[in-house]
Amino acid sequence: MASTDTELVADTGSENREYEMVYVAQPDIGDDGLRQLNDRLTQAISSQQGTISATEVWGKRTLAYPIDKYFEGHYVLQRFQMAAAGTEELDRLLRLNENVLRYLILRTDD
Amino acid sequence: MSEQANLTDNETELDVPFEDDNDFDADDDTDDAPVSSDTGDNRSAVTGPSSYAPHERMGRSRRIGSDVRMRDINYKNIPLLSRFLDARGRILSRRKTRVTAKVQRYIVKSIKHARHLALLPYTADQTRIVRKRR
Repeated sequence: MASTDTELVADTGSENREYEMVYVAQPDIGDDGLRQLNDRLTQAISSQQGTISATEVWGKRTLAYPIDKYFEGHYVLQRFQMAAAGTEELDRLLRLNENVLRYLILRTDD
Repeated sequence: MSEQANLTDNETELDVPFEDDNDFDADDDTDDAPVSSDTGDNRSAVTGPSSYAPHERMGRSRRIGSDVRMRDINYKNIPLLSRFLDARGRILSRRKTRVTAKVQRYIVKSIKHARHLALLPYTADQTRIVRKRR
């Protein structure tokens, strides 16, 4: 907080930031489909000069409420470092993929 | 004595926040305002708005969030977050949780993130629908 100037510089630059992403894939996707989806996302992250630091697969969980008539979903969490500009592409990918019921990308470094 | 019963009652409710949806009033009884039927026997002299009556249950309400540490507040920490929901899945007000404004802010944000990911319901009847199907 004390160094507001450097923070502002960092915001506009291409410094890598810590992110956390969770997405909920539809339950009928299968292992292969899930792997495919995950590959595509990791590819997108690395093509934005990002590096993945952790992947947690929570597995199939019951949803708290039905989404698109599904009652379960595959939850996958990923932590990664990436430049801020890269989130747009990642966001687009997740938004357009019909196998993804929900997703959440959060910055975790502040 | 009735106080004691209330405590245990409420604790079970907190553990399984969405179990008893049919009984909408059960929640209201244990709310901030002491209900006359609850405390009538030992404090029948109290009249007027119940909110003016001394709060015996302050200790209990404070307990909801007393052991919350900032770094534990997270949209993934469902056991913690569900303590801040009532039986119908609504977020408890700060008046009931007695946590600091800062903590409440983070909790509310986390609950909303968790709801988006279907980790928590928006309303309790959503959970009922899911339970029925499974």
